[in-house]
Amino acid sequence: MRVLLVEDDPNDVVRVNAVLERAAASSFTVRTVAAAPAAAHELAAESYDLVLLGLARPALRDGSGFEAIRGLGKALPVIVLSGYDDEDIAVKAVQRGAQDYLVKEGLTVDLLVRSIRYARERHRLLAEQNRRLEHELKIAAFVQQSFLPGSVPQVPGHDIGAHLDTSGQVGGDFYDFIELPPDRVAIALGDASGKGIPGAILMAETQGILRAEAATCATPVELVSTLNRALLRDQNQDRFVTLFYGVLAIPTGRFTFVNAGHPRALLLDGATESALVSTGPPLRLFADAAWEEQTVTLGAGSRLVIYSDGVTEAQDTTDEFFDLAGVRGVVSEHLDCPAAELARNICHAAEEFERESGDPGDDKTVVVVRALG
Amino acid sequence: MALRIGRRDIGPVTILDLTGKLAGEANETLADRIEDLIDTGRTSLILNLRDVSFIDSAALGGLLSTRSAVMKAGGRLRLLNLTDRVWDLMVTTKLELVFETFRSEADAMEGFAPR
Repeated sequence: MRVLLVEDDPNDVVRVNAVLERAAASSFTVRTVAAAPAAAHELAAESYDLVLLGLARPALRDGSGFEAIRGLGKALPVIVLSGYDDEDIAVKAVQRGAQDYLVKEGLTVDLLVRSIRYARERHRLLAEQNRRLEHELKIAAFVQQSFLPGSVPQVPGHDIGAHLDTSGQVGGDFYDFIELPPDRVAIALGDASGKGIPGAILMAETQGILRAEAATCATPVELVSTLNRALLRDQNQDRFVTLFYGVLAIPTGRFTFVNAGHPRALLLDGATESALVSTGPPLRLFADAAWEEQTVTLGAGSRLVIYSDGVTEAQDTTDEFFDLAGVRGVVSEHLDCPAAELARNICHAAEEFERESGDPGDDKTVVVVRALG
Repeated sequence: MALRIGRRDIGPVTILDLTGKLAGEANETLADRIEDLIDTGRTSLILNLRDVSFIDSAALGGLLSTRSAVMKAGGRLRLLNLTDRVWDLMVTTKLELVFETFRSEADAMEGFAPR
């Protein structure tokens, strides 16, 4: 078995090697490096089965030791060899991904060999479990993608487009278009709070109810109220859904909407900009909530831009936000762009903005409606 | 930047001075911290958000739950010094009508019953 020993104290290197050499039943090939960065380099170049990570008191105190565990433990089982006998630190090391925490003072052949054997087995089981979860997440992502409308409605006099990028495999954002014959179309963009699977489940529930109820509700405010009542049947109160929902009357361009706690949408008409701000709270928070309904007209040449907060809250390395200024910038750069392309460009610009920050950010969704001249 | 939490006890009132972003894992860190305070009987709580640059929607939901937990324990949770961005989020979600918000520490302290 190939073991990488990360240890900067020459006395400890000798001690650990001596213990491993006495382990007659198992044969170990040990290579030693002095620090975690060198270990990462070594692991990239050579194949190993396990890492023994020696951590001194300063590294455990300043947190760099835990970072090393997190980094190295992604690929291989890591056993911490510490000079510091402290239960809390041991627990923290295991929480960060270490398979075991052994104190160098009491190290024996039996203890180390048993620890190595168990560490490898646990790591193998964990990797298998992760692979299975990863596979199930891929299926969930595929199912979630299928919730999105397969096509965008072809609306006379209008060009409608949408784009959605999830920050993880599954997300809490959604958009939808529901045709309401003979001459109306409903447009929805929602964001369920919470990332990952909890957000995705709430998103699926919301979108399912919305689709079922949209055709039977006479007005946006009726739809939003119905949706709120249905979502409130669940008890867990800390998760909610923001929703921008509007109905476009195709012949007149009149757009009647409710903004349920969602970021303001922008209606851009030449040099004039109107903000379609929140007209009530998010869904699933209050049983007695009320929403106001508003109507605007999408005049020829105007563009309606609806987005989720993942767009405006994208942050760069200096913690600056993409903000509405970022959205406006993309729109003004692509004045004659088709709706779908503009939606995609806005999402991509926000992603580009936050790329260097290392933060995966939030889901990003944009719906654009262009009233053609 | 991860969330840093400073604590000040002024009589029966505990002020938590938060610095950083209230998002992701920081949400749980804060909830755990407040749960510990409730367990020790400190339920007159002020969250000083002067140096909180950003609150995400999950954290906002977390604050609602925390507020409920504090109220259930017979206490109150007040928010102090909201930045423009955080205030904008409160207005958008209409939660400015739910949370007690203050611009000065003296005002936020007022009305907490002495023990």
